[in-house]
Amino acid sequence: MKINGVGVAVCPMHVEQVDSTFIMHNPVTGKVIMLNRTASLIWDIIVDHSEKKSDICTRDFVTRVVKMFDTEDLKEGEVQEDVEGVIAAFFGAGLLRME
Amino acid sequence: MRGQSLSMHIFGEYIFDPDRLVFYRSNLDAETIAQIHTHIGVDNDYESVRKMLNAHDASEIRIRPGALKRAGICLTNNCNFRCNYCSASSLEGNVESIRIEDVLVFISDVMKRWTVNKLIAKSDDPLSLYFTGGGEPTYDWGMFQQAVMGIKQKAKDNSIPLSLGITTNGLLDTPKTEFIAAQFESVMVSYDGMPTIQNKNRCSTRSLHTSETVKETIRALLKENLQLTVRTTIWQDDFHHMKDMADHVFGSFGDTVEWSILPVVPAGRALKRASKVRDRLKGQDFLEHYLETVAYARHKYGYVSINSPIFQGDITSVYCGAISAFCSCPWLLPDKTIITCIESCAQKTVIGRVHDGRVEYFDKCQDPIFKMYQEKFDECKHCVAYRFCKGGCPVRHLTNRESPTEMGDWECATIQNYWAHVLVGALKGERSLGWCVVPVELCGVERADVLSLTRTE
Repeated sequence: MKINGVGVAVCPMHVEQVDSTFIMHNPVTGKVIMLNRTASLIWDIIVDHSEKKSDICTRDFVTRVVKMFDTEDLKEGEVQEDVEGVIAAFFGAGLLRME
Repeated sequence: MRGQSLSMHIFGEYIFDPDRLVFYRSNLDAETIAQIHTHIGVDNDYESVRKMLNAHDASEIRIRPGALKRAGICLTNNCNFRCNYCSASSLEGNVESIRIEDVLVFISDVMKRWTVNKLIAKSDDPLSLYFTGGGEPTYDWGMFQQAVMGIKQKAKDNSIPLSLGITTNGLLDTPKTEFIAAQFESVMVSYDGMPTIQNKNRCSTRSLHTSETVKETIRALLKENLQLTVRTTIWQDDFHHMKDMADHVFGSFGDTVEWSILPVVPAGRALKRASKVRDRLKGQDFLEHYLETVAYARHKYGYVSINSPIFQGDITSVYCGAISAFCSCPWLLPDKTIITCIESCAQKTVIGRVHDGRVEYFDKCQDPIFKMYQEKFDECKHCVAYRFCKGGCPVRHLTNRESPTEMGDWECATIQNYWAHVLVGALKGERSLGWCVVPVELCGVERADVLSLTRTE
């Protein structure tokens, strides 16, 4: 799949979900990562697109996050920053890698 | 001695080496002892645990519960009993009352941490949740029922296996007993051994006499498929009634019930009485009465399960996990704070809270329980009971330190005498309260008569 035109692969993880939180275990490093609500949504979107082999861009994530919180207080610019930050964190934590 | 952390102890012609859990003849020369030490390594993680404990500053400790297997909920501090030894001095009229939403937020966080444990340890053991503490968990029945059903639904929604436990005063009608039987895996009912003692110690606000109703609850629960414990809290000057209590407990409830006997801790409501009659209380020998009662009951009823929580049954690295360094079982209180130990009253360690729909664990806090634990871990290492006690309950030490009753020494002496009794019995070749000795053959070491202390059950 591609995020913003860049080829990305989802790294194999053991994933569990409790309520709206994803809990990921990297079987190679042994690390466990607990995603907050926003990060869980973004991860869910990525996995969905990865399985369908379809591409996605930041705009799509922003739309879904704004819809989830359903409040007028959210500024799209800030949400975009947060989304980009979360995706960068996914790469840093070894959940995603470049293809 | 090289590698020796703990003190040796002499039992007649033998030395007990707690680092290796072996006995050998006390008249051996130094060379033979050195050979024994070479053959049998130190089986004691004292140094590594000590290092880990001392890496923390208890006045400013960072607490982050990690993976969890259990947690506890105290729904209310209100109680419909007025037990004369209640360490929490529970009454009614406490306005603090947690909301169901807050309970479920806490449980959601616990379930996430259980899942972490599941992923790391590859363990599918159920998440254990306990309802106890403060006052009576079932005091506000509607809230209790909602909490239980809400937790069960959340566990079902997230496919998390659950095991519920409760400690109750047992003043329950049939529908309530049936609900608990249907929803819980383990129940501890407080019942003080026999009607006269129960009615003397544990009166309710509506009726002075609670014995018959509580016994009915126990009988009803015995018919169900759950783990049932009858907990008897006993004043020191009632120890001489223990055999009569055994007859009443096993006679009324049968030989499958587990009977747990706990001497009164002089705290809360017990303090007033304990202060007045402390000399009389201190003079009582719990161990002697307890051992006689165990022998008496097993002779009369066959193998029955009798225990006391003041005697830890096994070798342990630490006394318990309810200190902030481990935080193995966080507790949610009615004021929405989260603490490390439900037995702590005046000296709680608050590690977090439920606030604004979320669980917040504080970055740092003071932990007086942990501080006491660190002190006792070092201070007690020369004691014969150390491998089994590791300094004992820090909350009870804190309580006793501030109490004018001087019962702290009494409890320590009781535990020491218990383990000395176990070791002497095992050395005589007996199966001694779950322990025995097994001869050890060491190549090249003769006439050392080395005996290894081993668990029998």
